[in-house]
Amino acid sequence: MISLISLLLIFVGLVIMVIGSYGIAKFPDIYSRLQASSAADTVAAMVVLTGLLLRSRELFEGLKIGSLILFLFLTGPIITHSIARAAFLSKREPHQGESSSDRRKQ
Amino acid sequence: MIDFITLDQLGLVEAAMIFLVALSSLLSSYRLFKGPTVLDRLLSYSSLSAKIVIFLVLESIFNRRVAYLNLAFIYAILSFLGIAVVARFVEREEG
Repeated sequence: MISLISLLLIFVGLVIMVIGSYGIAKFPDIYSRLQASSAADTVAAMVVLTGLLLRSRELFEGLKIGSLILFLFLTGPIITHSIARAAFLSKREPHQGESSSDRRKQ
Repeated sequence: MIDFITLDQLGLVEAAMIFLVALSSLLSSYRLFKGPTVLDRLLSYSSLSAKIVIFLVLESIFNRRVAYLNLAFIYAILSFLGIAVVARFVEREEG
């Protein structure tokens, strides 16, 4: 039962990660790319590592994976914030104008 | 209902997980090659490093390689430091 739950968690996290990476490849602007990357990657890493935590056999494996989850939970938003701050201070303009459905028609 | 335990022993489940990790890292490495500025490439690198950490932990759990877990931890710390330093440097350079 625990094996099934952990498989479900791992696959859900990996699918979230694929969707976020598609957003990174697709979006027109660095701020929207940052939004896709930060939300999807942090949640995906935490969900996948929680699924793998359920499969750990020894105590120290579990402790290491747990502290890795805590570390990724702390550093993901910090990285996103520092990249967004660098983009804002180097005066990158956000993408203006037509929506993505208009862009697809052209 | 599919017997997940048997599939797990066959290694098909792990192959599917590695396929998903590879697909997502391919999608985000498109931005690494295409990206107009340094910050896009930095963003792509941070996304790729999260995928590498996940891949290392997957390997360590499914193939019983204990060292890969320590490698994942060290990789996470070093990539965080590198990305923070490069973002700070770019901000000082252009702003």
